[in-house]
Amino acid sequence: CCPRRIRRILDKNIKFHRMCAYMIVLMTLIHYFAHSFNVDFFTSAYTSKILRKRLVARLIQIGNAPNETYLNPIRSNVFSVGAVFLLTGGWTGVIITLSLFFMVTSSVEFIRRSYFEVFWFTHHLFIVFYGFLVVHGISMQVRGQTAASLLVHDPKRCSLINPALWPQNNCPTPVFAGSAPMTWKWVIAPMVLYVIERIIRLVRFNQQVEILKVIKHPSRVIEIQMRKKGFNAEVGQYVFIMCPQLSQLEWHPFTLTSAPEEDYCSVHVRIVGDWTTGLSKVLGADESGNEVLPSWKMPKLAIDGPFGTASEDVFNYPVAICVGSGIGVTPFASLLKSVWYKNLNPEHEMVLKKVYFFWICPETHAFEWFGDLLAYLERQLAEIGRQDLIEYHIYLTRGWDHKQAKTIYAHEEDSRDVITGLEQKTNYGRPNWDEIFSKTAQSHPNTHVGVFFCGVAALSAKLHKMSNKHSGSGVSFHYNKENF
Amino acid sequence: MWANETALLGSYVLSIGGIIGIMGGLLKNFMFWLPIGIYGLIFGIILVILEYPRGRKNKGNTAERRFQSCTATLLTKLPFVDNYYFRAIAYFIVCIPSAIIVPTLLGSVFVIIGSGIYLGAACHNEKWAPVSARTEVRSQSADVTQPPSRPPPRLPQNVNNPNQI
Repeated sequence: CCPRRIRRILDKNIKFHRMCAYMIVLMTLIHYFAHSFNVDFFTSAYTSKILRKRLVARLIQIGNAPNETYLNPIRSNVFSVGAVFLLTGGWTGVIITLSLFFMVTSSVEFIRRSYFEVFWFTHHLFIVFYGFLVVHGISMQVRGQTAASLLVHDPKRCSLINPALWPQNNCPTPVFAGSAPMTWKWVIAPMVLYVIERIIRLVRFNQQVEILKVIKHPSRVIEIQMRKKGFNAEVGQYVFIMCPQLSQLEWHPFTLTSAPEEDYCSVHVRIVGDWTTGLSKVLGADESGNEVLPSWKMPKLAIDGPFGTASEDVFNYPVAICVGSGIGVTPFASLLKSVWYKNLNPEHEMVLKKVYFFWICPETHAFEWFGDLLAYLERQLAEIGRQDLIEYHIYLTRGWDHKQAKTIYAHEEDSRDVITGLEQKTNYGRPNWDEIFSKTAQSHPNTHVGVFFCGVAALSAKLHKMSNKHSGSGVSFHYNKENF
Repeated sequence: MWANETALLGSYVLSIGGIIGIMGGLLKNFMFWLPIGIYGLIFGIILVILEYPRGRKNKGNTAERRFQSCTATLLTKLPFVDNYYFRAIAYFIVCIPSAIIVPTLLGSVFVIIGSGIYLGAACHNEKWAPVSARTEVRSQSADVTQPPSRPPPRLPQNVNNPNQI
């Protein structure tokens, strides 16, 4: 629906979330410190030093008599810190600031990476935050004279007159009112959208997911092939998976590795933490399970999604450079499979004519399944004579010892690569991006080239720079990054 | 670890609150703020120095904060600082005086919460330990610091190699 340039901005949603959070923290501090002066003004109005000022003494009394509205929300002499808790704005503010404090301290990258549950569960305090934010101003304690009262009681003139003489001097008792809460007008729309999204997740939780196959790959990777009614995904999208048997509260994201053209959806799960280990156990894929589990013994799974990422746009570009580093290679499994399927369909002319695929891994460990996929695609493409559709380069950046190096050198002349078994040889070390980009720019003049990356942040910054550097004079590189 | 993050953020807010207290204390109406503001600022800065170096995680590599090595060496020399019971009780006592005026109240409450989390960590027998140098993850390859002494085996020059990149 929307042009590609505008849709690309939505890829930066997490960055936007963080910017909003920083702004909220900054504004909260300013708000708090400004109101600390305010609270002290309110409470110190009752101390004897200030009471000597007749105007202040009179103003704080207004509101004590019936039919009068008050100006000072603190109605008696209290200690200033105590007043913070007496005011509705005060104690709701304390609750809001404390929830914000817990959310912010647990969202730093160190806590997120090493103690994820602390981050996940404290971040749900946002419900408390928004709930109390909406009622923060409900007592209308920021007060001033009403417009009607200003017409009859001019504060500039009457403040100079002794308040005891006000009735004689045409200064009737002023009427005060507070301003109504406004925050709810700003946050109601996002809150409604969020509630709708959680309801959708609840509905999806109740939909049945049928597990078709569980495949064990080398290096502790399992592939789960599933089917759900009405589930349609685009290329490279991801889903959240929940297993009620393991934990009612944890939804974990996984990239879909199946192409949209296939009639099942699959994810490749690497067994790393306690949830994934539990998952492999209930699926019967751990070491003890050598028998095949019948389908009625399979655990219930819930899928929420699919959610989109940058890689969806790949078919809109005539040429695409796809770079995956480490675990970031998973969305490209879905992409490459889909390119192959679309090519089988001759009547549908694809915009995408050429894919350059770069796979950069520290070691091939844990991604043997992807190497197998590439070998399979290579064979299929060779069969229909379209080997030039996908050009792939694999870079192994570290993780070979001198014995392996000897083996590699000994097999240098083989037609197939000794590590992956592919026709394209594995390169060792990091790619020379300048050379790659300038070569691509030369072979495809006057085209829009889409650069798609998923992986480590340092490489992302480099690729973005390269895309900007080599754009111009006809060829333009559009950089898209997927968040992990 | 989380106690460290909360106490650090709390000490930042306490220092800012101290500054606000001092600024307000210079006004005639809020002279009571001035001594507490100075107290808040001084102890806020001391707490920042104490909390800034991140301790070592029990397993895996610990990501250090930028420039934390400057204060980490100081911390290894001070007594009692690596004991979390000490930190919990000391922070609690330090923050009580600064909780009596509103600007520094926020920072003190945060640091007191941090001290509560430290108390929980101390009950689990956690301690502060300086971060050692990052453990090398290089695979156990043979020592390759010496240049090769013999030339590598080469193929005959007149064979064409179509598979070379």
